[in-house]
Amino acid sequence: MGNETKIVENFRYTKEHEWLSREENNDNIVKIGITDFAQNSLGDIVHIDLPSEGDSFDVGDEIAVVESAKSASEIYCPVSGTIIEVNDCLDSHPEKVNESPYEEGWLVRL
Amino acid sequence: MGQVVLSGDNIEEFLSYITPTNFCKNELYKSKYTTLLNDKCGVIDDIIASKISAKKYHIVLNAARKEIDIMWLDKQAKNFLCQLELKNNLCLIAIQGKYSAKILAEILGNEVNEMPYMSVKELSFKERNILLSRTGYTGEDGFEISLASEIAADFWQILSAYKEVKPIGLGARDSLRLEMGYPLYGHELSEDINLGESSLRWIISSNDNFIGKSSLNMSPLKKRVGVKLLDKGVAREKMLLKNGEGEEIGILTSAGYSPSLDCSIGQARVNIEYAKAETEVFVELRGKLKKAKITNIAFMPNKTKKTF
Repeated sequence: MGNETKIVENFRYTKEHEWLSREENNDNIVKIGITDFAQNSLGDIVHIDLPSEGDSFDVGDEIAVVESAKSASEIYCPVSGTIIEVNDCLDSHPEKVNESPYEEGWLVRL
Repeated sequence: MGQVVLSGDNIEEFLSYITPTNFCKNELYKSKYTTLLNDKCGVIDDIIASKISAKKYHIVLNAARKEIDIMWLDKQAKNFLCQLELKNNLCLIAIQGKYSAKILAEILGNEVNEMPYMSVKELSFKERNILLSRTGYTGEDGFEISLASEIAADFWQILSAYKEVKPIGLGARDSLRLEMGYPLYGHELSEDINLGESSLRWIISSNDNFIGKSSLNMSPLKKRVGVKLLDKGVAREKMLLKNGEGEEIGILTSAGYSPSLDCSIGQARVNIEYAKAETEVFVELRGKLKKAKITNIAFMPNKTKKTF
């Protein structure tokens, strides 16, 4: 890979290269995304299948699919919960996940 | 890629028999894309055959089919009193893209610029003979250099020193050839798929009999076509094509993301009733039916130069 991979302090990480961050005002809400390492491994991301608001997931359920030129990667829900928001801008700008995996490239809030 | 040399007094009759392409009275240094056929008109391999002398052709084979091709060619050559020479010490380096002629001309001489597309030229590098062809599988202007393994690494290093040149892998080759509508052996071409179903009519130019000619399917029930995904997502090979009633009507033989068109494209083997361009179909993508349409096999014009 060559370059260092970035991580953010205070985020929690899973073995499948996802991150979670708790909301400041509400312990019950987390934001989920994929790590810098994951986006780099995937290559140029061209599409993301995101769930809908209101969908419920258990730990381990498939919550999203990230499509890159070379492959499709399932993202599994690291916690149980219900989707309260999805990152709509990824619909027309999937490349945000490559460019800013920890900020603008967040996937869902749950 | 595998490389062999076929030679003999009857070499052009031989090539016109084992492929559906006419090689008789072929011009010196001209290259032709064609297929080796079996007696059922299935494709054994797709190849490039280049005339390097009156009685000799340089043949490039797919690496994965090399052993099978060689056994087949050896067996068939005997019937035409032709000889097969293995060239296991040769490497093939492909350089493709708009700067390839300029860069190769700097390394090998100005004559490179004059070469028509689909032609070969014998040149030298480090006092060894090399064979340069203006060929490729990308639709770009480009070249393939056939040279001894002992000098291949040096040639690679010289090419890599140019800032315009970067190494690239088969993922890029695949998206480029898909954009061009070129078939890939093992996906669109195989021994079990009749040449008549492969949308390669243009290579059938043999005047006389050729292997498998009597089995050539002139009224195919299935055909190779282009497919473009209209809904968002990326189609992948082996995904099924369905009609509005949910019936299976075909299968994607290759598919992926097209960087040039910023959408998902592919090639499919579909039932003939659905093979017309603009026909609306569905791709079954991870259990969901996504809107797609049949298209012409090529999605973009090529940028290759004029041929002979």
